[in-house]
Amino acid sequence: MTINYMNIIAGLLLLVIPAYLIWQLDRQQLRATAIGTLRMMVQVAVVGVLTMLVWRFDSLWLCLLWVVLTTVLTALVLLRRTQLPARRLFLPVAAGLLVSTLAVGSYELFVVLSPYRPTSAHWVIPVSGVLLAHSLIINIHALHTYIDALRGDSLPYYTAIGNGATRLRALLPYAARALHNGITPTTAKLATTALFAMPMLLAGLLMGGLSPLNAAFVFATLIVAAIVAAMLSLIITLWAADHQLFDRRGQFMM
Amino acid sequence: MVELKDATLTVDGQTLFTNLSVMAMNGKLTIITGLHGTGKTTLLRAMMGFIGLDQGLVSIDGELLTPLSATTFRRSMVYLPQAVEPSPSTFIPDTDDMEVAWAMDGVKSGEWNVETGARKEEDGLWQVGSEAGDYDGKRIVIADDPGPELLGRLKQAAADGLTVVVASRRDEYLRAANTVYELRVKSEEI
Repeated sequence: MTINYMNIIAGLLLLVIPAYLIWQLDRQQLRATAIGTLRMMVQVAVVGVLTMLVWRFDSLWLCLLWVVLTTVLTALVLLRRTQLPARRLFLPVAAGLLVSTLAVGSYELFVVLSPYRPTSAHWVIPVSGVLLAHSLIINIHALHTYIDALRGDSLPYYTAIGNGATRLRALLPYAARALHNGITPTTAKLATTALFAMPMLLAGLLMGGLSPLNAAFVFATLIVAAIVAAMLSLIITLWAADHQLFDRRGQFMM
Repeated sequence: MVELKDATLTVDGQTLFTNLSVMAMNGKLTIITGLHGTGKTTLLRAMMGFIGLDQGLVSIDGELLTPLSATTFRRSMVYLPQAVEPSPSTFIPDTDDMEVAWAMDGVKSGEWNVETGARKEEDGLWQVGSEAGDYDGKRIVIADDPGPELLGRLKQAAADGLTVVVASRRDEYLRAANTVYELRVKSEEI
């Protein structure tokens, strides 16, 4: 049983209501809303077709290629959102995302979710997607905080290394602050994650055919894995970006 | 001993100094002075290896300061940066195992307790040594525009045999100095 064109049209018909309301209340927004909706639909259609291809072949290598491509996309989005120099930081950011997604994703798939089919596209794509999406959100806050703190308040850094501390030690407070600012919004919402913060994930698991209890378990482990992946990706990114952010004398370059 | 020899440095297209030579001896208080913007802070940073010179060299006790060796040399340095009003968002680097403890919130270097020398991180005080005369292996003090309250402590450090280099325009520092170098826009030492 599959969804047909009539079903899709029926679903999209609901757009008439917001369109009518915007037409009546805020006509200037109509064009922007229409363009946004169209973009969303094109994006979803493209992702849907691509996912369908990966689904059909169901090859682990194709899944890995998918993970690499989505990682590249996530890294570009992250750099664009943070307005950091993409040319300089793309590789560290992409490396952080890829390594953390592969490491945590493998653990999640092969250890935690081993009763399911860990190498199938059915699981690899959603799991890597959740990890990357969460890493994106956390790293936007974290990287922004890290660079901003060094730009605006580099005195603690220079004081520390000026007094003989290693660069790693001198940067620890900055990394700690970045991590704090990155994960605080997530941890603050943890208690209400299932209902309010990420209801789509739980809904997806239920609609995918899992029993409510299994869906809840998978949901919880995915959230934990997502937080771990985000933290790991941040640490790897900061480590990998060291030579891009500091010259060989330890001078901050941005 | 810290020596800067035939140094030329250009920052953002502006030549701060050319063929400048500075020799800061052990047991002496050496002052770098000059108007605002003449490069006093930059000169101190070059002496610590943070900034590379266009020409010339920096040596510590006769050993060449390079980007690689700077990390090692800085372990023997005490660096007191320019006193600034910390922003509320400033945070505290954990420097427990370092000679200079820094606790920031609302504290200026002038509030350093020069009398007791006791560590008072909770009070946010600058400290050199856990007690007077104890420098824990540090041999060089580099201070950027320290407050007048620090003068006695820095003079004592010099009297105890340390190399003390201070960037300052304060009269009391100029009067207490053993050697004074003045930076001028595109000029050399006097």
